[in-house]
Amino acid sequence: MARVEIVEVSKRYKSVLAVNNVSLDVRDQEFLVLLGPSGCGKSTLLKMVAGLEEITSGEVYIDDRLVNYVAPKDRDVAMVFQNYALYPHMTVFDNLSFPLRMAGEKKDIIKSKVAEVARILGLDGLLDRRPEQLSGGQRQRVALGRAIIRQPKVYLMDEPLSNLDALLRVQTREELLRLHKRVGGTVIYVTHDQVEAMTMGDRIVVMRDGIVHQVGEPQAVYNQPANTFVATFIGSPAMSLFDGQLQSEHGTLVFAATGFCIPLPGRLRQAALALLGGDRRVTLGVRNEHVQLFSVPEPAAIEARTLLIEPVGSDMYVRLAIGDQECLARTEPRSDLQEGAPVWVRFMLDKLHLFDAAGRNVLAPAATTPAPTSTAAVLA
Amino acid sequence: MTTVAPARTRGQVAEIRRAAERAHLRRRLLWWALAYSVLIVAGVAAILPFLYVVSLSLKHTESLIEYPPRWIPIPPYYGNYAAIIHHDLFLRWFLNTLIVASSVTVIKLVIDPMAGYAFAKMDFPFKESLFMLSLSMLMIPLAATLIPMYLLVRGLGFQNTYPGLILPGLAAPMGIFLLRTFMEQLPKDLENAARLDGASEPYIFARIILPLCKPALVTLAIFTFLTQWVAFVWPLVIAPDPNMFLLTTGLSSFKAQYRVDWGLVAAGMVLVLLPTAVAFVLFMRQFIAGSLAGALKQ
Repeated sequence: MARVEIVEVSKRYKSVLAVNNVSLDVRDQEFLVLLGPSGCGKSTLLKMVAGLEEITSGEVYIDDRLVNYVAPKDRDVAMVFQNYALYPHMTVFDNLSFPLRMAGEKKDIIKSKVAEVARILGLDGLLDRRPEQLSGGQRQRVALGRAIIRQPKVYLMDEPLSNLDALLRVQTREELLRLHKRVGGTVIYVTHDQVEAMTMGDRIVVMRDGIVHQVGEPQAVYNQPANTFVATFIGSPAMSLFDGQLQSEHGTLVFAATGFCIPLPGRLRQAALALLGGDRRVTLGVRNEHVQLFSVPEPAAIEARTLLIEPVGSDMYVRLAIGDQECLARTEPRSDLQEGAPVWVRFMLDKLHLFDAAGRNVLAPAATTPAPTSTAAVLA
Repeated sequence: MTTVAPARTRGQVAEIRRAAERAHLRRRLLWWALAYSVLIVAGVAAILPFLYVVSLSLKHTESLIEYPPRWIPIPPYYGNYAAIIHHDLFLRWFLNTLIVASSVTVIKLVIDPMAGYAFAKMDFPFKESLFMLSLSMLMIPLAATLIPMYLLVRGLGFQNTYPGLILPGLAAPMGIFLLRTFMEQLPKDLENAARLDGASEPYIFARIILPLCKPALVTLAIFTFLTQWVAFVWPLVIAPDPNMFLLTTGLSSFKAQYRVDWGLVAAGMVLVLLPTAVAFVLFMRQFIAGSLAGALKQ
């Protein structure tokens, strides 16, 4: 059992609130990803779980044991750092065996455990080398090996792939997932790369400015972002957003912006009705794959102008001007579109997202969903 | 109508390239000539006084006033060196200097890294103020603290003793500054990884951080040893007993005894400086590496 509970944890550095009242429940054997831009507090949160940063307020429990005042070495956690933190003056063998030597393990046991971990990670022939003689991928595996050799309850990984080149990052991502399936353990993984988060996490936690904006399975977060920040942070390229107003036309609720209006689909109508009595300013969101393009006028299609066409091999990204706003569409490569020429656009209505004036998804529960620029904490 | 410039022939292209290369080479040669001229003048100006002292040390006293002066004494006169080495107390002075310089160096290699680590890696109240206070000692000249320091050390009963010569040398803050700067650049994740793996704080300091500070430690050792080897004012003040002279103070006593036998004094200076020159040459690479520590991104 290795459950981690983070209860209303905050971290303050003088006048800066790096982590603001965050609560999370990490299940046993779960691969939880903390995702957010640089400076959002995800690494600070990780270090508080590790015991490397003091907790200003709140509690952290590992397997129902309060660890706020427990030394890092006694929490049974292992950490993989962004820059690997390998001891440069020690060989690979010494780096891998370091935790076991600190624990006073016997030499023959140390030798056999190091050999086993080296075999699992493909480090067999490298045990006598020093970190400076290793490639980036090899160093990363040594850092992983140093973590798994202790067989801790919880693995904490602070952007371990960010120093690798793109190709190696993809390979190592797959290796990590295979390793997690083989070795098990609860993992809390920090990254700013949403592709890593989407492919690796059982659940992802989206953070910004020290607060949690959304927690959920990757596809759920992608399909139902809690606010405009999550909507634009998850998904590449980012979701296109249109500013406009809610209007009632002939008994139909429509989204109206300069130059176009779109009738709201049924699933958004009920939630949008509640906004009619107050601030009617809303934001409409649509992902690029849910934008249909036509080179000739089509029923219910909006006229737009093509600003830029970017072919990327199997797809083509088309930047459009609709009214006085822009959006991005993804389509398969086609030759009937030209930059500067008119084009007709139709959004898949069942895939639209609607956000209120504060940026919250109208379909998300308001009480527990922060506004995109909120500094108030939320219970996740 | 658009006109197109005629394409150049291969021969023309080659000629243009050769002309450009010649012009480039001329400019480079001019800069090299200028740079090396300056370097040669500076180098000669730096080494000339030392060469003059060596020349002086190999001359008999009478030949010092001959005209025209001879730069290279032929034949060389070794009597000055013999007189110095056979002096009653020269060996004693040499041992005193070795004991003081070595003791200060060894002790500072123990205490300065600890202080540097505390200032670099630990958090405690008034850390920055204390560091600035210790650094401010660099700005206070020895002349300002000489008398109070003398009264303090004499009051402790350390006049004409090794502790009296050694202890004040331990307070120099340069080592703390050097090691703090060096240690600050070591990634914090190294200590964090060691903490998570179960290492104690003393272990982290001694077995993780210190081994990575070798360039800075070598620099500190060389700098401290050389400074103590050629120290003059403080040993002169605190140790007036000829048996407790260092090489520098012993050498200065020749003025009173021998009516300024310059050849003898020059020979003494060469003997004092020789070990330091040898040490610098042997450890030059580490010294430069340590001095540059912090200038380059890791």
